Amino acid sequence: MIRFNNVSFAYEGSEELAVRNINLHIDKGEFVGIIGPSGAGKSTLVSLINGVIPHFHRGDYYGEVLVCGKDTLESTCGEISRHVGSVFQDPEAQMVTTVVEDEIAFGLENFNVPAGEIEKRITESLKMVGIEHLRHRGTAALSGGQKQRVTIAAAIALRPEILVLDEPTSELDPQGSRQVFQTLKRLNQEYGMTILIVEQKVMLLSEFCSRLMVMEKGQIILDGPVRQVLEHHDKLLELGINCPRVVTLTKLLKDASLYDGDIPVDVDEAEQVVRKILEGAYDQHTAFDLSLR
Amino acid sequence: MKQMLEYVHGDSVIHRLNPLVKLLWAFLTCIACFISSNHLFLLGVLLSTVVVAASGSVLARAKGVYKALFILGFLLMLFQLLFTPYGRVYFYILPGVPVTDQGLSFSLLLMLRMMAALSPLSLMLMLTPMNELLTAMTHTLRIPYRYAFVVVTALRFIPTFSREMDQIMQAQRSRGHETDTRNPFKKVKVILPMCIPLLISSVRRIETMAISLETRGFNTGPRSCRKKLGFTRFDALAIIIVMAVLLLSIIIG
Ligand SMILES: Nc1ncnc2c1ncn2[C@@H]1O[C@H](COP(=O)(O)OP(=O)(O)O)[C@@H](O)[C@H]1O
Ligand SMILES: [Mg+2]
Repeated sequence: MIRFNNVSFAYEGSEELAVRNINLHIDKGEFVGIIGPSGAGKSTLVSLINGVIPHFHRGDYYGEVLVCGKDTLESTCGEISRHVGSVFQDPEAQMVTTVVEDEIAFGLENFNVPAGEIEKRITESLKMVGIEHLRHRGTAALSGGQKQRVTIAAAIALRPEILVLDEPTSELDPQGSRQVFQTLKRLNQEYGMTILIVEQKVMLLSEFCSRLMVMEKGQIILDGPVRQVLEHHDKLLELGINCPRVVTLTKLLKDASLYDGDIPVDVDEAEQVVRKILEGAYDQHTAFDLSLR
Repeated sequence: MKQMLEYVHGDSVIHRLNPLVKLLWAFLTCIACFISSNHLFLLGVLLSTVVVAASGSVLARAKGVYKALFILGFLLMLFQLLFTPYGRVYFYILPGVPVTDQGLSFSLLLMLRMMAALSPLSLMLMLTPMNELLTAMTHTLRIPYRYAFVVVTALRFIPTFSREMDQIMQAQRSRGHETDTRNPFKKVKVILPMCIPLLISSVRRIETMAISLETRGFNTGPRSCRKKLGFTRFDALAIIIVMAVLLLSIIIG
């Protein structure tokens, strides 16, 4: 679905490569999380997929990016947009219209979706992100979080094959962020939508994504199934990524050679692990030993 | 400023009128106000706009518009009053500067005209959804979509810029620059340096917006349209009324 062959890019006027030697393959139906410190090149990677690079930002471009089998260099941004939906970092600036429902309808009208279908999609996508009540409101008076929900609704209403989101929940509260992830998961499962999300909240990524990529200084330094990536606890901490507490716990257990299985990704799983260890410990009459540690 | 041009959602008779009818109303009323020099006619037109605002339930919002127009009109009125030396002199406000009956009548006319002619434009924007206006321009008036879009989008940026201006103003204030001043010369001196950051940030904003447009399929092919614009009895009635008002302005002069 998405393929990067040796891609490097430096923005015009900048000596440094914003991303360097990226080789990447993402299959249909994957739910990929991207995390990394600020300036790591996450937004640049996303821009390479939706065609914003090279069609809007100039610079030195090496390698090739294939989206749905086509080189993004050879199609226009508009053509790419038929396959790839985008949500950008700044919700205010990407709003095109003044009323919420018009904002959702904008892309649908551009793609010549019939009127009846547009109404259906507006209702559906507003419901999915939990803002049906804002339908007729002006976009100018919305809060940052509400604007983010609107931009997400506008993108999912188009039902793209691929959806890329660049920190779409930065202004949402934890509950709101969770709801967004649940919605994405549903789209991923129901429509097989391929999803790529840049996000700082590692807990949500580890719970919902099937694959996690960690970026640093323009490179993808870790890439794999969530559990596997979370094993690199030290590296993540070094990058300032706070691992979920259950992961930290597992890490401690592993260091103490008390556990040697997969990393649990939520509290329920962690509880099971701890229970098992404790049961095992009592079985072997080593409870005393454990408490010493 | 932003409050005066922003659409207020509703479902009144006025809201449901064809957007072109509302556009016609705003423009012809404006023209009629310039044709006529009759105080009573202008007052009547002004009152009719209040009726329109009330039936669209935007009276509260419209109050701000009337107030702003009143202040502007009042300044013009003072000017006119002091610089009309002919007619019967009531009294001298300064030595050599008379207040005359003609001056008073003229200046009053000017103020009424100002309020009656401009308020419909603002009310039209409050009572017409942008997307309907866009549809009317592209489908009925056959203006190419990209040009109609530019016009409508210019309006969309007003609240954004006014918020940005506030933010910059606050930033200046926190740095110790005085921004609250009643002196108009000082005000200009305060506002000018803010134009540069505003310009820079707007260029950036417009770039992001352009990206947003392209990634959502702007201008990639035939476009569908969410709302069909109807033409009802109310539209016909509204047009007749507007025409009658225009005719009246020509007749009474
Ligand atoms: N429009 C731009 N022009 C020039 N340099 C840029 C631009 N956008 C990003 N960069 C640079 O590219 C690098 C990667 O940035 P970015 O992809 O935005 O990182 P992230 O999204 O991970 O924070 C940074 O060093 C940044 O300064
Ligand atoms: Mg970024």
